[in-house]
Amino acid sequence: MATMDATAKWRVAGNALGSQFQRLRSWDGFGLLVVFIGLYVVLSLKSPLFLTTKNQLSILQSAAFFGIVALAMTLVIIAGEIDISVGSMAALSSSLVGVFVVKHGVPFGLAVVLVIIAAAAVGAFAGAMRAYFGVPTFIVTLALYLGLKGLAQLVTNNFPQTIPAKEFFYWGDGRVGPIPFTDIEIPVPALYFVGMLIIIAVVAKSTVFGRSIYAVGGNSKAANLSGINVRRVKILVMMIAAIAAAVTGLLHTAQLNSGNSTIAVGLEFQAIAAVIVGGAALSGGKGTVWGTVIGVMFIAALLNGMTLLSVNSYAQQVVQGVVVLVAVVVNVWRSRGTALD
Amino acid sequence: MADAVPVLECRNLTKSFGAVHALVDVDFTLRKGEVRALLGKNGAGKSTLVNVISGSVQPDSGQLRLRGEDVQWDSPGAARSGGISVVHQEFSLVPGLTVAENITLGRWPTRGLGFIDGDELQARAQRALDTLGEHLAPWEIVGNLPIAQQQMVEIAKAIVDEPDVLILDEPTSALNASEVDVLLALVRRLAATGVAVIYVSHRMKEIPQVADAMTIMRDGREIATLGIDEANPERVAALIAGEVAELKGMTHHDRRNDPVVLSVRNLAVDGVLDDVSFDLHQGEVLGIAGFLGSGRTELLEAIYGLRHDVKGEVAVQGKPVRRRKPRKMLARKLAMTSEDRKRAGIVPTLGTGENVVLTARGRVLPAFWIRPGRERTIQSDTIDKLAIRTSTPAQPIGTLSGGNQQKGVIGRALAADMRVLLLDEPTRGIDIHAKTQIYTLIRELAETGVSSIFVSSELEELALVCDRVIVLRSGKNREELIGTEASAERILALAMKED
Repeated sequence: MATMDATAKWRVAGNALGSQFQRLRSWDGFGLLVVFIGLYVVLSLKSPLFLTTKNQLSILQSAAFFGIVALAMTLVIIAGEIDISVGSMAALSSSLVGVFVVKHGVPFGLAVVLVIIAAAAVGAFAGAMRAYFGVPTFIVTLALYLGLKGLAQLVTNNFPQTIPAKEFFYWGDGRVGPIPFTDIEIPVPALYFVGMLIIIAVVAKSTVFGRSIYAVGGNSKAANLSGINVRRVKILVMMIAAIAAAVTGLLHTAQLNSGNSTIAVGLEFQAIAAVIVGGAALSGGKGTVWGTVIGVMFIAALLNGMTLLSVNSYAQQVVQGVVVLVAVVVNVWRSRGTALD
Repeated sequence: MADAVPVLECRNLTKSFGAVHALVDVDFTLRKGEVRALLGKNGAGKSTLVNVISGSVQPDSGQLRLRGEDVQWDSPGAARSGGISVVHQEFSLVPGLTVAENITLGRWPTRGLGFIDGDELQARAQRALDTLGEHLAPWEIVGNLPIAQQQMVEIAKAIVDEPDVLILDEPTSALNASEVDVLLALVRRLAATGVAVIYVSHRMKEIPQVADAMTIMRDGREIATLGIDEANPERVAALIAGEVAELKGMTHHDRRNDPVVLSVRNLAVDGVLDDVSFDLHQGEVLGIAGFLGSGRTELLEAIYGLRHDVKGEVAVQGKPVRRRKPRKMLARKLAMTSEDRKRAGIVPTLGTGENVVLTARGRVLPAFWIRPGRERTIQSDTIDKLAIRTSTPAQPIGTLSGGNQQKGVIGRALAADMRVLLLDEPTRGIDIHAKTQIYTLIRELAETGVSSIFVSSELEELALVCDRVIVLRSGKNREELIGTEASAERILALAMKED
């Protein structure tokens, strides 16, 4: 009897494992996960340096620099909107914090708070233009892309504003650790990335606001008739994206130890690419935070791997472009299989 | 003398969409120079017949003969080349292009290498306009023209290739009285040149002015074809309505002495609604009847705060609500479901359960955190109660049948504990079985004190479900029918009445 029980138990456990695997397979991001693991296998075979702890941490660090924005961008894209001004927003926040601290002697902490508030205001503006005047966010943020960049150059006169504060450097580019019994030190930007991931994942999954984003992006008319505050949702997602951009700008500032108007070029592209690779639909209503996380890690690992294999940096851009295109084609092809149309 | 060979001959046309028999064994013959009116309720099969003749729908069986020869269209383009043109109810014009470009749309003459032959294009368009006797500048941008002239462009576009058969689908629904006269005269003139015209309309007044004969359809069948002089309005109305199926167990109540839950006073929207007033009582099902363009949908939108150009007053439970918007109305336990289920009802990408709780959140569910346990309970309770057929609550609602989608939309209001429902065409495009379930649901809700306003173009269902029916004509509430007074024939006669 005892043996019977044991076998039965194993069978039950096996079935449970099997059904877990079935669930995983039916998950939208399953294909992406397979491709991601494939990339890791190929890169670690090609380069002995790739799978080292040090290199993996450096991938995590570089992922943070566009991953924080990509996470916020996920919400924007699920809501059916887009924000192409995040790079300029990052540049402006870096410039502003530099000018506040260097030229006006504002205490560093206060300067950071002011910059975040400014970013939130810019995001609210973009969202309000969309919600109240019906201007597509692509157009609003295209205008902001130019305007904010110009403003950043204007306030700094295009000179780096060197910030003397040492601890600032630590908060942006330091390392935490070592983790007990190892010599692993976690880069601080990676912690921000993980922190942002937790916040955005909780918002998307466990708050009414997060669920409303899906409803608004999936069908804003139905959402409105159902009593969801469509305008508020749109404004809030644009604010979150702008704040994420400002945080990224501050990280750059810490890394360079100066407020700088020339940073974060192409941030919008990498962030949007990660979201798209992660399976979100630009038409709204579809996308997951976890998909984006894999998208971010995929792009970060790909760039890191290509650098290790000394692929020409222009060729790297071509590869990135191809990856995004393939991801979109796969998404469109897959959604054609459903009966939604 | 009429020609021996008819221009158009349909034999035994049959077409089904799933379980719905849209056309059953339809014969239809049209002679050169004849204007034939095509009448019937929504869903009677008029559009399907028109679509089969004009090539956008393929029949399951039956023959189509043009000038005595068998034809088979595989696309609207083929039918058009074959000599059949349609003026659709909705405009199919490109607003940014000129009159001439629109008239010749899709068949622009070229000089070779894909360069447009502008002179030829202009000349063709001008010929079509001359035929109509329209003095319209061919270079005018269509978007800048008034509606009546756009309608003329639409017709010019249909006759530019000199068709043998011209189909006009509700051509006057967007026109005012004097514009209608112009159009009717135009149709007569075209017929005199030998064009055979199929004229789809519900406006009884225009038909004797324009048609030689009329064909009446009901439930996908051709019921009668009458010469215009044999057709008196009562007979036509009776033929259109047909017999009414009785649904068992539907008991109606006169609720006019029960408390008023919604009161509408002097509601007006420029050009659409004109001084509409009524009360809705607790537990009452109030039907709103009227043809397309009578202001039914606009009335519900005006109550629910979806329009900004509304005058007049709306009070819920005796309290006036000013500056209405959906969230405000929902807070007063009043919800609306849209007639356009796909575009404004469901969120197709989300699960059925998720769709059901959208309104409940922040009302019977907390406003910030998601409570998975409570949500699951509400989701499965609602899905069970309304018998929504879905494999799991997580199945995207967009993959369900229309009837189940509609139940989901109504379920969303019920899950949020709504007491007043504004239902705009809740049974549009769903099968008869699902329709019956929706009727029963509305009646059951009424017994528990939920009041509904039921807007429908299907008169039988109004007669079946409603305790009281208000007839809207050109934006005004004209008549009120109580209980058994509200038969489909009575409603139809009133809706068609000319003031």
